[in-house]
Amino acid sequence: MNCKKITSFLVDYQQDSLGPEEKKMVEEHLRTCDGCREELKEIQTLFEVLKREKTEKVEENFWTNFVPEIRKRIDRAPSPRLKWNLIPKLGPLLGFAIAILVVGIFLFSKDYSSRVSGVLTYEQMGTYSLYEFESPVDQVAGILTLAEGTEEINDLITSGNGESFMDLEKIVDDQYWEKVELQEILEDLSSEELQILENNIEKITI
Amino acid sequence: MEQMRRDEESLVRRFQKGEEKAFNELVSRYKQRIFDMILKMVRNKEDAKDLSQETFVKVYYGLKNFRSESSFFTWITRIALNLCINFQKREKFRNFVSFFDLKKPILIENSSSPDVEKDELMQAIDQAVLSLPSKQRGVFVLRYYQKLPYLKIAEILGKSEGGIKSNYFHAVNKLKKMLAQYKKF
Repeated sequence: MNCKKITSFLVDYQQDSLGPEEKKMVEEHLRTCDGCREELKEIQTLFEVLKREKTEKVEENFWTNFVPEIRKRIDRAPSPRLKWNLIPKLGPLLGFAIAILVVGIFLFSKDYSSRVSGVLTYEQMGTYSLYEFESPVDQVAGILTLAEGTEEINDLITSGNGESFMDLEKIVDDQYWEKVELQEILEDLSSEELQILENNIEKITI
Repeated sequence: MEQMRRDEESLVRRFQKGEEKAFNELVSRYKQRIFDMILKMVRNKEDAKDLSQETFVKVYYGLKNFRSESSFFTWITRIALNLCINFQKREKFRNFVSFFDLKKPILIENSSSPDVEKDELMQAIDQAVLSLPSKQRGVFVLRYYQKLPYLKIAEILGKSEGGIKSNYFHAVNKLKKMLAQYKKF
């Protein structure tokens, strides 16, 4: 087992939440790998630092007033009911929005089915039920990623065995999270940092 | 565990039939846990107080349509987490608009000794955790502080277990780098 794989187990190993087989595997690797032992030491240091964190105490009256305070907020807050009197005024606008939505769904579904059919057959979808993505959004995201995927992904599809599909799911999953992470990182950048990033990108020559 | 879930479902049904007291019971069961989670997310006591109460206001209005497709705990944790994420987006915007009006990081109250190093360490932990991307921070808080299994976190966030593991791993790596200098304290 390589260091990359072992490293991904080290946090759970430190927290004693690995299964017996994985634990044994990690321990065997650690016996012979200085790099991973160093990595584990750093993880242990982090959790020692975090252990020294103190939690703030909250005044007792906060808890005694908790339910009454929520009740007050509920009474104060307007109930989220639909304002029926606005419907006649909003009617034409709603109609227009629905029409746009219907056309959009039609166009998208056409595009979507053509993209998907080029990549996965119905039998493949059925057999491997591509598959345990939790929500329809994840399914679509996963399938679209496949449709635009790399040769590596296409190879995995054409080989069509169960193990490869397991890998495939992992690749899609990794890509999905990488994208989410990238988006979050960009969101977290200050305008100054964004400017630096933009400048650096402009400097790149292809 | 199963018994607890059945009790919860019964409380939810009683509330849906109009028994307001059942809601109070649900609040009492979860207030501490939700507050703790929010405090670790936003790292400010006053904000955590406000957001934990706001969570239950949202729960009150949503509970009438709650279908028990997930457990009550999963559902309420998701609501609290989303509130934290939205709150921090607003805060970030506000901080950006008025840069010099930043909130002070939390200090430990009733600390027996005015240990400057300890305070510095607490602030460093706050800043390190706050610097994680919001969803990654959510994963870290649920796993490290709330001790939830990966599968449960995956259910709360609507992601795969593998994705959650990978997020936790990345969060730990970032914190490791940011807090490396504090091991001497």
